[in-house]
Amino acid sequence: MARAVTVCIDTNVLLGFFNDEPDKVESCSAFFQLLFTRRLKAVVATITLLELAAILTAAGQYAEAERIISSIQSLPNFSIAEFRTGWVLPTAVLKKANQLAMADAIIVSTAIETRCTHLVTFDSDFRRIGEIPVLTPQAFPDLYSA
Amino acid sequence: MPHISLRVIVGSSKSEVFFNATTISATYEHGVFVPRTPVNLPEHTEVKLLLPKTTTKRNQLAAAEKRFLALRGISHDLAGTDSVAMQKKIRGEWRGQ
Repeated sequence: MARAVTVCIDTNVLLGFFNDEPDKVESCSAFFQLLFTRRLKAVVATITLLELAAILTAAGQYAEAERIISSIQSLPNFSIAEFRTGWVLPTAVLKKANQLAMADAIIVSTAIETRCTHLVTFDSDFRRIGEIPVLTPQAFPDLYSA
Repeated sequence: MPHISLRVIVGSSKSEVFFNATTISATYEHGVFVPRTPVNLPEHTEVKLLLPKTTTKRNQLAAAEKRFLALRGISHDLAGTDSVAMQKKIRGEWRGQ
């Protein structure tokens, strides 16, 4: 039996939505709507929350960062995945095999170790990763239109 | 068990002219609506049932999901920046870039 779709959401997808970026916000919005209406499970790495908070706080938007973090934590089908000790060695292997930056490796490792079926990101650097299917928010609805 | 009130329009089966409407309670069982109280209608009177539109749970967004969607654009002050570029920049800090 096929595994239920569970997505790991990269930082840039959330940021593109919160930042109302013209080339991303509509597809992000449709992506989140699809997740919510279909009750799909999503995973957000702790490092993603930290990146969102750090970027917004650096821009003088601490209150917005608080609201965003609180909102993500309250979503019923979203899990926040903390990095576990058991993931250290597999992450090091992933980092080397795919020549990833440390944080990128943590995101990919989190997606794999939490048994996500897909990693959703706008960052094209992730496309070469073979360990997990990588999709953009625009491409994600295609999973349901076939 | 959900309780749904039905609006029943009673009319002539021949003329298709409907002249009255009332609301009764009924239970839907095995494909048949069974009134909960007796209805004073001649046998074989045709009725039309107005079913309320039900929103399936699947289509209902949780309050938390609505609040999340309402945060679209909350950090628009970062306008002019690209989220992938911002992500790369902050991840580059791990390498001292």
